[in-house]
Amino acid sequence: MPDGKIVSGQPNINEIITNMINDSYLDGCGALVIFIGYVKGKVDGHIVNILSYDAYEPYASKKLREIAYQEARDKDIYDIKIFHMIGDLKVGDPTIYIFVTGKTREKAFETAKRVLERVKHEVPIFKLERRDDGEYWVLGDGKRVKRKKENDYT
Amino acid sequence: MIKIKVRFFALVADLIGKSSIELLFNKKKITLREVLNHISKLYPQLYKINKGFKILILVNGEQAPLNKVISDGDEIAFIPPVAGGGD
Repeated sequence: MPDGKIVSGQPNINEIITNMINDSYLDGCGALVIFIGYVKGKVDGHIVNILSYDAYEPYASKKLREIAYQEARDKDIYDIKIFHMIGDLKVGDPTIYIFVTGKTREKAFETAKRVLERVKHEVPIFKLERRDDGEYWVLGDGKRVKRKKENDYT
Repeated sequence: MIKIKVRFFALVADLIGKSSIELLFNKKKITLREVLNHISKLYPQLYKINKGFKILILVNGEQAPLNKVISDGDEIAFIPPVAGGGD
């Protein structure tokens, strides 16, 4: 069953993979695509120390579930699961997991990519990059605004 | 009496120095437009952001027209551009 949620602990990947494969092979599926995003150690030539994620709950989880259900309506897609981390993440820590099972690799890859793009643009999740040269809010597709004091963003 | 919660996220919370406030209106009916007018007087800096991005306003997690009637217990959120996912 499609699912999506905000989580603060790492999901059990092996269990998810086993279950998704066992659930789908009798329906003619033979492809499981997994995307894992993780925290970069360097951005714009600067060292990243921590990446802090916050989410507007319960609406962020609701939107993740909605994306999983909508994209799993495709007849060649069997199941989709999305897990997005929140909290203070260290360099190399996973930030998001997307699992897609489908009948063909093309469809599974294509769907996983579309799910990721939708998560990036539609889900109320916010990112603060704590770097060696200060703190930056990440807005949309890579735009960064240096964190300032209250009332100083004009 | 209408009591609503207003939430601010990320850069917007920095901008006003709070992540949420509660507002009380001594009225029987109020629209989103009237609530936003009230908030603009409390926090005029919210409407002076000039960084090339838009703030999305949600009512109970959904986009709503300015003439939407706001009910007791509703939640309004100011959302800067979102940044989920990986790269």
